[in-house]
Amino acid sequence: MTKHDLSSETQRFLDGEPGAGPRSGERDAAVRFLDAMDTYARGFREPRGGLDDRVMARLRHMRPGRGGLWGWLVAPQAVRVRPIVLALAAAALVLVVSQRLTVPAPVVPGVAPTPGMVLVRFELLAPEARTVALAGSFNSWSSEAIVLVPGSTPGLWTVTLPLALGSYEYLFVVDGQRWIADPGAHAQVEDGFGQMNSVIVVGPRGIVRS
Amino acid sequence: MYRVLVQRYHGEFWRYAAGLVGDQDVAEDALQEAFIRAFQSLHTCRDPDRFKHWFFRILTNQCHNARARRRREEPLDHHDAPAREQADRSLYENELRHAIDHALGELTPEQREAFIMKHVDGRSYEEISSLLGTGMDALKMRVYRAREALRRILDGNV
Amino acid sequence: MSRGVALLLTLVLARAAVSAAQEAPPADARAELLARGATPQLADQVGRLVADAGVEGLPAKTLTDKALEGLAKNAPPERVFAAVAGLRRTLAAARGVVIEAGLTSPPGAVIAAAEQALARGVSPASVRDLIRSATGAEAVSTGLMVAGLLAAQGLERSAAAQAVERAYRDGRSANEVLELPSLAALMIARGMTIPEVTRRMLAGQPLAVERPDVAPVAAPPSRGTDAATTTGQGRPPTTGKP
Repeated sequence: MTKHDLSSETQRFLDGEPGAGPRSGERDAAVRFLDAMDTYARGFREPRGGLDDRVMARLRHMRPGRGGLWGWLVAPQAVRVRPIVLALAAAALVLVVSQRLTVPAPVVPGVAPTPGMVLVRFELLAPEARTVALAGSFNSWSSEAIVLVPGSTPGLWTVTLPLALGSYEYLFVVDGQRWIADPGAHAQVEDGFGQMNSVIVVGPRGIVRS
Repeated sequence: MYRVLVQRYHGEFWRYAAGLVGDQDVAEDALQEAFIRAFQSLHTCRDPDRFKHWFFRILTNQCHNARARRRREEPLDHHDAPAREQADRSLYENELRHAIDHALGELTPEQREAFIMKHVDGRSYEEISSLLGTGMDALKMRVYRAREALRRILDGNV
Repeated sequence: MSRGVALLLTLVLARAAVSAAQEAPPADARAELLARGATPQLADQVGRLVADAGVEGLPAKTLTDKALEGLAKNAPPERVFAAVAGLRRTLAAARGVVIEAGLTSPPGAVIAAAEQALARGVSPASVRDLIRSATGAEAVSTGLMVAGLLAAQGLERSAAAQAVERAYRDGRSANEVLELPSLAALMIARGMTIPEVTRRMLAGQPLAVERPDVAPVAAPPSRGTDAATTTGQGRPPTTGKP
């Protein structure tokens, strides 16, 4: 930086850091900069209406895209959840559809964004099984709530869950009584009951299994 | 239901697009194009909760392209758009806005993105970091450098 | 309604369903155990233990979940209680290590993560170093958890913690550190030896997990492609390079 650059103190003031102030001697320069940016930002007119109409009109003339995720979607899924949770899901849907359309206020510094959830697919090759379920730290180890369904390959059972970022211990439950590890998990760890649990760590881009 | 997404993110990103492109009308075209492309490749967005961040990258790309096209097709003079619809504003303000738009064009694309998100959108570094996928220290450095570049140009003009 | 739109709708629903299940308010430990079929005696014993542990600043949910796990696995009551009591001891020890590192009132998530790291072989000294190298509770608990996992994946214990420290020093966020176990798994799947994986992690190799079947979507210059989840049991990504 040249000697005419603003000090880091003043830079933090310009960042809007609470409690930060410009260094003496730099106050005029800082205020001039903020005024200029204010003028610039003020100069934007409100956007033209009807962008959503124009976008939807163009999309109607296009063929819908095909994708692996749609294929997953039309396959029979059995993510069984408690009835109360289905009602909450319906409420969440209403919330999404009735979003207010406003330009958001600037975010308060220091407030972290909410973490996203990621889809994670679980698979087990168990040709002899009659039922396969998934139990783990994501559902308090309930051995009935999450059920796998037969996949496209014979003997393959699958389910896909949306999970928050972090680590999860789990096992498959075959025929309601055999607890089976996932060979594709990141690692196997002791469970304190003489068995091993499978562990995965879910990052923002999903997981890669070995 | 895609319409809902268009309405929601139009409101959130129009200012960013306008600042990045430097011309509001061209920016709205870029925004429209971004929504079309996002829909066409929706099957590659496997994480519905990260739609915003994923869409943001598509939009940024469209805006950079639009700005580059604009530079190639129009001579850089006082007919440039920021002043076009502000006939009733003072000459000083028009000159200043034009100067800032020109100065923004002199920045690297990364500096421009970060600077606009900070000083036009008013976002926190945490949120910028989440959208751009860049660490906060690197972002601050980009914004600081952008500020200094802008100040050098503005002090020469104002 | 087009297919793309319909799928987005369904994914929003699925997400809401699981997140609601995960965000249920913490119930009384004793009541939860009874609801899951524990004997009244076990429910009382565990309930008292969890309450005492909570007062000491230990994470109650971690202990309750361990009891629920034991019940789900049909372990006899004495075994369930022994596991919960053992976990409480190791959590208390972990809390001590975390306090020595300078966090005087550590959050439950940090203690739980430290316990995991110690249980998987990361040394107390490495745990302390890692805590001092990370900023913020989220970075600390994520870093500890990932270090423990890398050790469980086979990395040498001190290397596991150093790999996480290296990532934070390079300016990586907690979310990026979460990618490390997948990165290690990918390298192992591609035939690298553990020493080679360790060497690369310590050298701070790029964290982008390559997904040849997902086209990059307007990636800004500094980042790699938007990868997604993979499928398969012992199979590499489904399209593209083996």
